[in-house]
Amino acid sequence: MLRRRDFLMTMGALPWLPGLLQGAPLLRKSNRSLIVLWMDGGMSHIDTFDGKPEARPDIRGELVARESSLDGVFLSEHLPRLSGIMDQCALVRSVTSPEGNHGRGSHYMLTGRRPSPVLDYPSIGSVLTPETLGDGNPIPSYVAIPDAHPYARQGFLPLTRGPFEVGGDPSRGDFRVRNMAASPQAQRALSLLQTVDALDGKPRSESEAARDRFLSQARFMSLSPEARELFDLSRETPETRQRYGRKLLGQSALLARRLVEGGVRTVLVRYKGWDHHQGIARALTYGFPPKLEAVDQAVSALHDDLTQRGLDERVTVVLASEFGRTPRINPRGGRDHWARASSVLLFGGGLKRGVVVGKTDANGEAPVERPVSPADLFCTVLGALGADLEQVLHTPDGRPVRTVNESAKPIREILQS
Amino acid sequence: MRRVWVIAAAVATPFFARADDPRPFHFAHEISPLLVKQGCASAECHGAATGQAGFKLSLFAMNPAADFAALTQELDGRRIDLARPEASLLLRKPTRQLKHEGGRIFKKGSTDYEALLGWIRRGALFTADKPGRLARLWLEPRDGGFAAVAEFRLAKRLAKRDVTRLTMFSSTDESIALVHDDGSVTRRAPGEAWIIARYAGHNARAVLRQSFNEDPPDEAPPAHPIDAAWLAGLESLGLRPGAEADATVLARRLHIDLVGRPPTPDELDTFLALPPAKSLARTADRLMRSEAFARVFADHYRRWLELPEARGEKDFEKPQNTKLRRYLLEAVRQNKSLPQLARDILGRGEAAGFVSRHNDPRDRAEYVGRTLLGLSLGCARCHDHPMDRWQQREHLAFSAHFADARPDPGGGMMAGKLFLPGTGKAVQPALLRLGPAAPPPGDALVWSILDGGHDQFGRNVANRFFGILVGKHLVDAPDDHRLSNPAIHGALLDAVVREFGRTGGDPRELIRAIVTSRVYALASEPRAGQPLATDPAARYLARREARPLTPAQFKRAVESVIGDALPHAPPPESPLARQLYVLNSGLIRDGLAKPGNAVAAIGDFVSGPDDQLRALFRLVLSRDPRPGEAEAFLPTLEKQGTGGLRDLAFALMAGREFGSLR
Repeated sequence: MLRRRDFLMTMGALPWLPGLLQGAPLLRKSNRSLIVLWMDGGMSHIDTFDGKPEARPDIRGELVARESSLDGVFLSEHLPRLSGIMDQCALVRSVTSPEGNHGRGSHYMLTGRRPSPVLDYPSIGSVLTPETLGDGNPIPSYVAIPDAHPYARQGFLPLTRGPFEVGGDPSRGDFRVRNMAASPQAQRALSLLQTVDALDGKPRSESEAARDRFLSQARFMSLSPEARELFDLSRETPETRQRYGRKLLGQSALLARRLVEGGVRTVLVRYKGWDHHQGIARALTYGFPPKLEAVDQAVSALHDDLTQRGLDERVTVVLASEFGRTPRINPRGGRDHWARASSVLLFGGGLKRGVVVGKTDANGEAPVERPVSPADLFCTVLGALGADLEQVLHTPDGRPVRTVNESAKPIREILQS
Repeated sequence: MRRVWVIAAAVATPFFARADDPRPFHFAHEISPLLVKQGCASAECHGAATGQAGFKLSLFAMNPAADFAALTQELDGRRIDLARPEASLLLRKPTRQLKHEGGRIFKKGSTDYEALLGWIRRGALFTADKPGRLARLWLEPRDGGFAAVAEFRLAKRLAKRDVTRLTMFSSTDESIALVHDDGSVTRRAPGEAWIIARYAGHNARAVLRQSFNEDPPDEAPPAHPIDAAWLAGLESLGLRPGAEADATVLARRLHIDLVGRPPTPDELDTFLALPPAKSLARTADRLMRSEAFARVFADHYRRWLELPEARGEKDFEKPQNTKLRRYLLEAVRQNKSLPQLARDILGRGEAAGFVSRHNDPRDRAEYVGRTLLGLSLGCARCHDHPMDRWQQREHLAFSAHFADARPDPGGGMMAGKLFLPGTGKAVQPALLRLGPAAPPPGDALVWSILDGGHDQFGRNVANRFFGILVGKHLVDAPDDHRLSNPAIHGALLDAVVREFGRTGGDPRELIRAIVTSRVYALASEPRAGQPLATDPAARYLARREARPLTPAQFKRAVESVIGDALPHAPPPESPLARQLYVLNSGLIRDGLAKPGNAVAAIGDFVSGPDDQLRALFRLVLSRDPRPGEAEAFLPTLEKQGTGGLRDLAFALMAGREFGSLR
């Protein structure tokens, strides 16, 4: 089998690969990584992490909440594994936002900024992506599984800092990263392509130079055994695959773990289908797999797996959604949008364990303690990764914009000092 | 001569009111600017939304009345001590006689200190002795830098004053020229920078050019009006215009720009048969009559008006979007004039519904501003902005214009209203005043955009068409025309606007004017020794800058080589995903595997590797192979026959040149 070293030597002999693979280590393992588990559509806080067993039936809903391993924290009984590891996690129950519309709410959560009529802000993954494709980064820095939310993109930053979307469901047997498998024709034509570009001379513009770098990266991704291995879930044992859950969320979380292990800085897992305007109890507990069960299994497996592999100090995991859902069950048995309160679960690198921040009132309507804005949360996650919170980004017309909203403050209670 | 004297006199007498000074005085003209210049009213200090340490000023001191109240009335008036002016908090804090989080801002006895002290001694008034209205601000050259001069309209006369000391200066490009607090300038590098001045809510600008000192070209002045302005601009910067591109490059450029695909070999022959200048005009005229042109430009219009792309029937689609897209296609087909297009989409006819794509009246107002006028009103939604001519109340009033009608309790419908936040008061709707002319009676929205004594619609459209065809907007971003975002080559934009006006906004005439200019025909080869990122020739349009084909252009270019439509999606936007797509998506591979495709036809019908290679290069890259290429690729064709031909076609389409518009 072709080893990485051999591969690099073969590729290194090609003069047109601009130093991409030589010298610097393939991936900088010393860097912190982030996994965002994005519950797309608005996850009900009351039916998940902020159970209200004492409330009226039309508030607490049909699902039963039980006290978890963390005192005073009630989780749905459909989250038993997570309930058991809550003493290892940090939970923020008092996230509150004025944005109750999917687009605007997601924008606030994913970029740490309320939507602005003048600026399109970059998401956390793009903020964490280095400005230039360095010599040591043939693997993309920011990967979205299976695809990126519209507000999980690069905003006003250049396209080169946008997410790389794998473009497929990792739980499917025929899962392949979109266009990553080298076609035989492309392989045959590669040396011709090299000559075509070499005879064309030097790139004529910045965009042509960038194209050359990305072509090298694309070649590396489709030809290097190591890059292919990184995305290949069949390298995991059947037990591990089973442990995460065999469906979309489980296998996406597993792929996310493989990627951060291989040096990807940010992985966004987009798990859709939380907009439960009707029949919420059934929607959360039936289906294949039931939504809550999928979350319980995937997230607890991810937590345990990262810990067992000693990655828990290097990788930070955030489970979040654009908003919570109305405390009161509506006439169709559903819950509607509710931005005044929602819950966010965090664990891993840079975070304390077994901490709960904030509290909502008896009906889960609004925080009564320690309200936290999505901007504060954004700032906290960057803080957990050890990022420089004073950093300034620049819009294309040169306007300086702070990475973190000026008024945002990190939640010190959950950050390791 | 007299004007110089007036300024000199103004410089000689300090503008600030002393205790014994009987001259007219206005807080907004003398104290507010000082608070801005010292940074007190910035977002980091007391201008923050919640103020700082209990003291709040309006952001950038855009609301002098509120700031005056904060200074004189809050905190039981302790900020100002009329009995012992020196003991005022306003003076003791910034001089750090008392603890001040922001540190020491000025010294006791400094000019600013004396100015504030003088104001307090005089009674800390808002106005005194009919101060008049600030009518105008401009910059005048002084000692290599600038002086800011303000003109005040007093009861019976105009008064000019030097307000440099109270003016904020900034440079649009500090790598070229740095401007200091006193208006003096440090020149750092050749190029063009604008100095922007801001005083008491007024803005002014002046340009600084430093020559690159290249030899001027030795040629007759051009006849083309766009080129005359462009060359004058280059000359003012001491830049020599670059060479014109090869005719084959121009053929490819023009076809991709106008019909979204490279020329067929026959079209290439036709183009090359005449001198490029003639071919550009003739081919443009021919292509602009085609359906492909209508589709390409309808798509440009769609992006201009921010309509989403048409999606599959499975998706929900707002019916007005579909209707508007259909209208735009028809508008290009019929070559509707652009003012007419604006009238149609703002009117009540078939294309109506443009404005109502947004629900919130404020979104509607900003949408109209961005798309039809190229103006970003959005900043003013939240607060007045110092570099923006639009104020919050103008934004609100213009927004109120777009409030939906609502049911009248007495039956029927009544005009919609927009309410002032917090007060419950209805806002009086008003149109944007861009020019001096007074609006006619009735619904004057269309008038205010297209006429109104200004040419902002034309400037916006001319800039967008220029950007589409030359690949660089003269005002960038195209939806943000403002004083502090000047055009590169302002005179060039003026010339394009004149072409727009001359033709009555006829899009094909405008396109024809641009593509027959020399600016359009420039070559994209960089000059030796210039780093790509900072090449002034590219920045100031002395040469063309190569840019990637758009996803749609790339797909159409492949289809045009294959000679058939392909079912694949266009490449993704992300640059890495795009290269993976190019290599592995199957678009090129499947195209080349199609029976009877144009590449296979070369293998079948052209005999001899030399002619095959030539035919392949003309098909894919619209040019003949260069000697080095012939030497490198002929062996492939000789040894591997049709397989080699196919592989080479693949490599050419995946190559740098094919994916780029040069």
